[in-house]
Amino acid sequence: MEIDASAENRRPEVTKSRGHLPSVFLALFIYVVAFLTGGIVMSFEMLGSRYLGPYFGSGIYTWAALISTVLAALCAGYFLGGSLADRYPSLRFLGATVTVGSVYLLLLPTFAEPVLQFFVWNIDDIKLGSLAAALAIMFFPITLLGMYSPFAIRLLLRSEHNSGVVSGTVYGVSTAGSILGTLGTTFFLIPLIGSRAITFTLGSVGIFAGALLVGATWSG
Amino acid sequence: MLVSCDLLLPISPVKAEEPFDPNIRAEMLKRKNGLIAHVETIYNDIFVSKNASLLKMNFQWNGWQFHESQVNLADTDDLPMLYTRAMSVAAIYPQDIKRVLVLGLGGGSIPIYLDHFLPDARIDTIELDPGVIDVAKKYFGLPETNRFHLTESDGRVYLKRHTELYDLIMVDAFAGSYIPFHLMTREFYQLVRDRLAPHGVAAFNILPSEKLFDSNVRTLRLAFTNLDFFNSGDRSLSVSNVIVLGRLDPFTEAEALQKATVAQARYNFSYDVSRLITARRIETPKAANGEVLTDDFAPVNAFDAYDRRYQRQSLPGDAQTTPGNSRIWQCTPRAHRDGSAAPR
Repeated sequence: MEIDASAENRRPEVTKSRGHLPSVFLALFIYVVAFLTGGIVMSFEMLGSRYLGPYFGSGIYTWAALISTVLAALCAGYFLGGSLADRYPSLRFLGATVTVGSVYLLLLPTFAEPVLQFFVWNIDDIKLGSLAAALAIMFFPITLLGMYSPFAIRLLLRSEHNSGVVSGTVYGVSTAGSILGTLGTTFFLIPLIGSRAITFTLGSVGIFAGALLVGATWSG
Repeated sequence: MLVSCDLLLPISPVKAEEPFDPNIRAEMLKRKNGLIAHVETIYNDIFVSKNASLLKMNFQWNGWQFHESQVNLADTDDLPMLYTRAMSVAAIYPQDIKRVLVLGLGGGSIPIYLDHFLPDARIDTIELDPGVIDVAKKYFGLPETNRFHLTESDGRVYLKRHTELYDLIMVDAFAGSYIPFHLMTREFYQLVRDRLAPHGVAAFNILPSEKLFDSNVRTLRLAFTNLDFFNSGDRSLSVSNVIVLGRLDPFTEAEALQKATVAQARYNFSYDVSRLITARRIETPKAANGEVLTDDFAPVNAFDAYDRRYQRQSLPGDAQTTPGNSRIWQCTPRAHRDGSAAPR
């Protein structure tokens, strides 16, 4: 992409990239969904201990399994999201990844228990079992949701002049959502409704946001 | 593991049937009063201290000290912590006690007591923190015998993976002042019930805060149709934990008292279970504010923050003196916040 100091670059609402050009409202919405996906990921991490606890106990190994699983999934999501964003820089694709990850969350309560049972009974070492179980139930959705940030940066960038601000804002907004997800889940949602209900909520919110992203491309 | 006071002990071979090493106990008795050791583990900050003949294991949890366990070095048949005496009442119900499971070790006073007075029983104690096991072995003198075993594991995981049945299951597992949520749900209580042998009994040490206590009571009722409630009698806390026994068999209070008398004659406990069962019994709580706790929904920390229900009141006429010059206190429920008198 050429660095162009023309008037076009000084118009904040037009972004320049290969593929679709989001309007200012769409750009705002991309930031909003960054906030939401950040919240969903951390909320789900808080839930992880509620899923794993009854099967693997409350040992420190369970926490280690949870945290390392979330980090591994985010790591995979960042790499994958970055490379896919260059190949398919479209809002529709981004919306699809959010939707697919959220559908998994919506369905998770229906199959979480047999999966956890499987690992408790079939892996002798409880530390290894808790890691395997955490990966089995958490890796996929968090990878998909973790793809969001690099992808959003790709879609929002217009030149390298503000690439710092755009990438910083995407990650900052996403992390702000993570704070709300962490605190809101721990102090508000968990005391109020069950883990399955919270997971349904996270999945529903994600599907709704992802569907809106996909749908937005039709109206242009 | 960081040990700030090192201790070198002459270790002699342990006799086959003693559940503890008397040399270690004797050595501990010779030490000066005060802090003996400070051991940091991945879960806990453990302080081992001595006061006259009492050896204490305290846990520090975010700056709060909790008296987790005490043993009497001079009298190994003693149970210095009052709540453990209430838990021992569980032993009156099974016809023969062959296998006992204890979740949560501390200094090992409950397993040692039961091992001494139930000579036919095998005692399995499960403890999550390997540091607690090490401290118990090193300072409280707990070795392993063919009847007395210490296993490092999460209590629920152990119960799930081992399908043997127990005559007695004592649940006394705490992380600081909290009981982990997965040890307070309907599924866990049902698992405990499923691991009880015929005529078996489970004993639970329950936190007294109103919402959490009521929720535990409601949840326990789903797993056990027969429940007994006892005041723990603890003076060191401002509010008193409650000991709940879940039985497979139904007994009236009169029948239970008779069983207690028989059991006391048979086992000759240091703390007379026939007196404990009457002095410590409290009325079955209504648990009006409780919600059922499940693996899916168990906000135990939030519920624990609600008001604490059971306050201790001394009733001079009812106080009794027991061995060791400690008094058993009656526990009466505080009046409800709306002003209505709580049932006595």
